[in-house]
Amino acid sequence: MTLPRSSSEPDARGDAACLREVRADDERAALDAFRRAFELQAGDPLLQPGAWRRRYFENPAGTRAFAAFDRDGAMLAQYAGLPRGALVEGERVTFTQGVDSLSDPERGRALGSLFARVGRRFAATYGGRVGEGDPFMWGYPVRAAWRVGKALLGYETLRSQVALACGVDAVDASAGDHAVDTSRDAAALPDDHDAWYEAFRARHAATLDRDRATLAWRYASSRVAFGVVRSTDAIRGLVAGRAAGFEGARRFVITEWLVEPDARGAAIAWAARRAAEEGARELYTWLPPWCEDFAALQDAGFRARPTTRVMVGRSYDRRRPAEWYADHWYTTLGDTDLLP
Amino acid sequence: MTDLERRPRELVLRPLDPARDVPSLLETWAAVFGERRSAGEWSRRFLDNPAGLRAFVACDGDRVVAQYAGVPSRVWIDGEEHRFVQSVDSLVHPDYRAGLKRPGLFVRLAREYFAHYGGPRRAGGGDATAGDTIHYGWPLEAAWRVGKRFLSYERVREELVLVRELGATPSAPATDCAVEELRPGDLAPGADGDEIRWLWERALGAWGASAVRDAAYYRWRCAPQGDARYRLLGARDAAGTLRGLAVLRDGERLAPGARALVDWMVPADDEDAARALDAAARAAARADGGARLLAWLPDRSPDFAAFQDRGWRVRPTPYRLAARSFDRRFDALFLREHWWATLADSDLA
Repeated sequence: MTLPRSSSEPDARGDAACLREVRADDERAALDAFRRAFELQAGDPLLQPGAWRRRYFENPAGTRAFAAFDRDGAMLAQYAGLPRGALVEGERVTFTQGVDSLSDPERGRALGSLFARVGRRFAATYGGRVGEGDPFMWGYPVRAAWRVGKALLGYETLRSQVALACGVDAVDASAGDHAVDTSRDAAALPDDHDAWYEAFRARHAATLDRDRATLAWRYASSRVAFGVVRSTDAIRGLVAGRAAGFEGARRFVITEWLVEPDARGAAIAWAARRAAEEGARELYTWLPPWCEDFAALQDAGFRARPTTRVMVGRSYDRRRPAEWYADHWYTTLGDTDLLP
Repeated sequence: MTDLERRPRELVLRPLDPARDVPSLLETWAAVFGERRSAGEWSRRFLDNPAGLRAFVACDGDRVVAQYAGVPSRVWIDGEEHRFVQSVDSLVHPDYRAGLKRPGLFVRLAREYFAHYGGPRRAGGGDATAGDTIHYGWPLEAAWRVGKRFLSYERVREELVLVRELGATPSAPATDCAVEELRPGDLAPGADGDEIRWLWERALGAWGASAVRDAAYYRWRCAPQGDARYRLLGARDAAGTLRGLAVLRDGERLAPGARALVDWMVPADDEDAARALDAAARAAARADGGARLLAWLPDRSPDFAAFQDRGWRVRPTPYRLAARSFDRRFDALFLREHWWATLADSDLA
């Protein structure tokens, strides 16, 4: 479906609301709307200088944001997403995680239909078959957003997310003859990282891009540390994480887990050391239950735990229904925006 | 006029009448599944269910040519009794599957079935014939696609299984409970009441929704069916109090070398009863020739963590739990977070 990228439609008061893609010069209106809708405090990362622009307009995969503005330029409603390049069975595509959807809390109830129209325009503008749009949109919504996403955007529940957790003292792993180099900056990952990841990802049917430029954008201003596991000079794994309050407890959250089987012990041992240095007593990560590492980490002392989150998604390409991604997409917490 | 053009117009879709439809239904069953089911087996599964009967049929004259059916259970939610119904044994005779009209007979029949049985809970919750809150199941791929598109099926979760590899026969742990085998046919409320219902009320705790598990439930659920034989293990303390209950199904189930722990009912804080039953269940499964024991428990229950602490590990399964809610309060997220469901709530074991 082709729709104009800007149009005027009446809002709940009968005023003309302009529906259009969000532009870089909408920063002030967007942040005002964020403050009202999400009750952001002054220290929130999204309110830091440059953060909004970086999140929406410096993403190497592009911008996905559609909003309604009133005649004074105030943002009344928004549907947005964070796109990431992906490789699906050899095809280069883009997945988009739904984020930051909002309607003005003071005019929100009356704006229900406007919010729905923004959502439909977002889906129509950016979703599409491979080659025509983003074939897959997904997210981990809170309950209220889950209902909205289901009703307005056709999101389906794909997975009741479980975590893997392990007390630092219970880790059963050793580095063996592997070495781990620590980096605090994704841009400083070694020159052979991109080539190694392209080879590593071939074992999975679907993965997001994790080249240095993408990781540098994803982890800009993040306190995440990266551990590059090597054996006889060759990269054997990449693990990343940091201590944080997450899912109700302070823990060392592993956001990237891209590890060859022989490097698991070294990667776990590195994470345990980092956790201890950062004052966390538990390692914690999310992996698809079908992947080999889900079982392997349990062998190393991790245990499966419930989370508050449900993965939802919508496919825009009939070749692969939404649940295909639940069963084939190797995804980690770093693919989400849940832990900056 | 061809057969295919004639048939849809003449089919009658209505609730199954056990008095006249069963022989024809079983003939169609045999034609669809290539095996015979006896009237006795059908009766035990459907008519003897204390929670009622759910079956809709399509009839060509006196002949049953399709069925959409379910197995209901009485589910307790916040002090109210509801009915949840697992969809099972849906079938369409091969002669009636083809046709140019969409949706086909399966969907038409299912829609009539849901319209008849699904809906707001009736006052008092005692109506055993309609007003079901949830219909659910673990559909195969083809049925899932049809259900999602035409019947408002929604995915609740993909099932995870707890697996315990069975090594040497475990010795009985030192606990204050002894484990005994209960005979399903003998289960009945005693002079002091129904001790199984009491156990269920203690085990339910803060868990939000659960099928009522009492003597009548297990007498029906664990009666021999076909080749299925169940073993009920009860943990009882020196005072004679029933502290826990586990149900095993004999014979391989769900995976090579696997035996199924069909049900588990132990209050979350009763570690002694849990350890005693866990060891007894493993010993029984091993004695039955099993290499591993499998259980389904909700990941948000305390038992999910406790089982792992006792050596069970979590693995994926190909099964997805799908549901259709007829009450907005009890949507897929509610089921995910609050419904105590085990293999006993399914027909998979």
